[in-house]
Amino acid sequence: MRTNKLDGMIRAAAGTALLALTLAGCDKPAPQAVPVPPPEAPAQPAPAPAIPDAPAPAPDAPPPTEPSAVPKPATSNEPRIESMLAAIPSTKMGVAVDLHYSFDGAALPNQPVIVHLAAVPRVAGANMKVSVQQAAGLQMTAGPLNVQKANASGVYRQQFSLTKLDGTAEPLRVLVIMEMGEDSNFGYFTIPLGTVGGTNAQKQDSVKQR
Amino acid sequence: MRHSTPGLTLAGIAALLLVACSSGGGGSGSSSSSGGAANTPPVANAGANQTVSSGASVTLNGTASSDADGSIASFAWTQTAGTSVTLTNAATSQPTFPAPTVAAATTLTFSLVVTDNRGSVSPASTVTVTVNPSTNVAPTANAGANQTVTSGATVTLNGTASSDSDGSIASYAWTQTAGTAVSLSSAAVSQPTFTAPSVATATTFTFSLIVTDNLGAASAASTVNVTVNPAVAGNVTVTGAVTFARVLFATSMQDMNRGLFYSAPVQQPSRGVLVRARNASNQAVLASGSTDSVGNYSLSVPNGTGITIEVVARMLRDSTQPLPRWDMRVQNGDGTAGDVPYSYTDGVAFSSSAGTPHNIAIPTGISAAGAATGTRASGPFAILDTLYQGVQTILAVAPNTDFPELIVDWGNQSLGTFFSSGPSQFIALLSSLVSDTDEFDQHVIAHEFGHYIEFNFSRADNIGGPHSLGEKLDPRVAFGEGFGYAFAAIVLNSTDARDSANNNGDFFSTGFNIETNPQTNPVGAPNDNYGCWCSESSVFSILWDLYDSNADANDNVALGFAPLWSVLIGAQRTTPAYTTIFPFITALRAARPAEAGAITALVAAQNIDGSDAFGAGETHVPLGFPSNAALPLFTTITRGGAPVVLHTVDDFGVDNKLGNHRFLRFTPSVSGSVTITLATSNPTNDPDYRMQRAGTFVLIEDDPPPGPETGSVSGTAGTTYVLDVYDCDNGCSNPQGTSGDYDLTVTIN
Repeated sequence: MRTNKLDGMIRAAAGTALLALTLAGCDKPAPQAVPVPPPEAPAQPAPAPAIPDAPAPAPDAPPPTEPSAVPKPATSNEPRIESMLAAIPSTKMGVAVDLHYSFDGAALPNQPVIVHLAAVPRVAGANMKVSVQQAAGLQMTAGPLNVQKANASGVYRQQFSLTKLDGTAEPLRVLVIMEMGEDSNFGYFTIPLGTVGGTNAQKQDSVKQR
Repeated sequence: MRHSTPGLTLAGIAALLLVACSSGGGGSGSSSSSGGAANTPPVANAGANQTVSSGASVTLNGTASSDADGSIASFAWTQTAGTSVTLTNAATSQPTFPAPTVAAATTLTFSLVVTDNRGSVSPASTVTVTVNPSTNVAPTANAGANQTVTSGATVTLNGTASSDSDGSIASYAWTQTAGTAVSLSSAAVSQPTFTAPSVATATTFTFSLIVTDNLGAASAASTVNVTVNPAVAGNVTVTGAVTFARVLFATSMQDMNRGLFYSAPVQQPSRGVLVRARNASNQAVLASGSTDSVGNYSLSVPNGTGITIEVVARMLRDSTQPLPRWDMRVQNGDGTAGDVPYSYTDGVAFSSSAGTPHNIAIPTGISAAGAATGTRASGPFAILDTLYQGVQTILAVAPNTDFPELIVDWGNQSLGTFFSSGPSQFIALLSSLVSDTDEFDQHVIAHEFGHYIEFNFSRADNIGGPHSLGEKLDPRVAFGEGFGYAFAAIVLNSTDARDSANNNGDFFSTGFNIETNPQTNPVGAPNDNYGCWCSESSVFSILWDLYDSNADANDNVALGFAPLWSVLIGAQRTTPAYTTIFPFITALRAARPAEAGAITALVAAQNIDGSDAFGAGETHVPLGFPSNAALPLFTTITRGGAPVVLHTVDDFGVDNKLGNHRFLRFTPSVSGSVTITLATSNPTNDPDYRMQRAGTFVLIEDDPPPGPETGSVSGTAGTTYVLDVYDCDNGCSNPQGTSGDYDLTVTIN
């Protein structure tokens, strides 16, 4: 049975989260301080170029006018979209982009692994930015991916090296922002570490949102 | 075309003539040449004719003007007929003017001439604006919720929820109609105050409010009761004001990304929240009450006792009090583990005595750089105050509302921001300062509260799932999400829907304007965001335009919230169809016949022309989308009739996008058992369906593959049932097979 069980999924997931709570016997204070990036975070690497998957242009087609949307077939070391996993979007009105990922191996402590990302807009947009978030326990070489003009169903790829500095690293979080005319949306995606490769059968349920 | 071109061939001349003939420019415009190339004159387009009421703000629209071989360099509008008006920005594509006051329908005519980038001038294009005499709608007074206080307390009457659908409130007039006379601070302000007099027994004081709008029309009277309980012997009334620190969005001068501006929080009244006086020695609760509409509290406690004041992130008006009632609280958890609301105390113990206020100012607990410095104390109260505004919006049209219990889960959960309808209802809000936290994102909170309102007082057939601007959605999703954002704009009286976040230390926000209509014409519309009955953007812009009093090119209707609410809790709740834009608009047109034409024009501008609750007669499908995967919105099926084949696709994605789910309607002619069978052309063979009667599920068949799915239910003659049929690879949230184009075959026997 693969149905849209909104409430059940939300309740189950929320219930899991609640297991981690320490309950107080009276009214509780608001959340305490949460980890923030160190004030002197490492400088961001230069933006990585967008590498969209697209059919080669016809011989008599005009040259592309958008510098970031140069059609280029996937290179041989880039995984096919069908073999990648779906990153889990935050349950909220988000950006109309699907984010896929895969690892070139297991994310083991102190061993670099290549992470492949592929952003696939569901609608056309502009100034799409894909930013991997710095996090404690993770060392990354990823800079933001910027796409001036993002086509619906275009595939925009990025790959970078990731090293878990210890065994308790947080999941990887990726922010995607896209503009649509004067409007804009963002969405946070979560990529669990420790998952290698992937097939569609391994995809996790996304939680229904309203 | 008079310039010569040396060496031009006959074929070349013929080609030039064809260009000239097809340009549509005629011969009246001037032309110029540059570098030997002919310049095609531009074409002015003064937009569609409009009909408005006196006083409306009219926007002329020349944006459809064009130039085949260049661009439009300038616009020149002139008025050629009718009562003279003054155009603002007459040299732009969209000048505006206020419709003049007229005694009878009057036509104004305007002419537009455009000039292209090479100096060619277009022929004039004209547009007419018909101005009808204003039919001023009287305002509605709202004297606020009934109150219960103790002798000696400062009472604030609250008329701020009064409204005028087609103008503004110009004046307030309060009078006392029952109880010993008290002295109001002013009878002509929206929120007068008085001191609750000394009484021997519980005594009710009644006040009446009449408001007058900007055109002089007076409202009917609205009344409010204030019950004053006698002070307890030996007690004193402790008073004070509660405020919380709200972080606002940066202005463009402060931050081009318009993120939250943590360095300058502002203190705002914490309205309607629970306040307790505790014995400083043993923490026993001595008294409790709620802050009023300006954040003031008053508690009756024993004189000369050491006390502390605690503010709880809870709005409570329980069953011991007359309607309206509510119980809304913010806590860490959704209530399933016995969580309790957040609370705040300044820790100051003082001896209770009358006359010395003790004010509470709740801080953010966040540094100017956006890092938590301790307890983020004001967050729960910021959230609650947005809910307070939502409650007041509903009370303005339904003063005796009984709101179901609502929890806001803000703390450890990181699933996202969403509304869950049960079994206990809660709104989950994100709280991570390093990525996404929503306590100060008022549109986000009010949007989720809109889902709560729709679910409890109207009906939400919305199947949920990811959604975003520009997407072509299942029409049930489009309506639910569109309503959420329109409701938020109404609650906050702001069309700037903004959501903040943190990108590796860079605080930013994204957003959109609720009033900005998606493009009317799908051809060439940028970013795919054009009007559709399947677009949340269309839904929220339509609902806002129905509500607001500002006219624009397609919006000449200003209903206020009350008529929209009546439809939501009436026809939309009971519709035999699904809750989409169609039953809402159909019912609104029926309820407001005088505005039916304007309503039809408004939705037509969003490519919506279905004529009934089922969208019958709808002709529009998104550009490039297969019509047979969208229309008709509902296909009629009969018992024993031929199988119905419906096409389902994944062109816009899966789960909840247009074409993933298809709808059927079925009205048995005789009562008895009916058997529904659904098969799919997908080799994965996992068809599913759900059958509803006026919003209630009567049959769900969503077994694992292989199909077909077959189920039976008892049908009632003359009752309409609707079916949502889908192939799971297109219509499930977690498809296991391959999505694509599949045919669904349905039979009913």
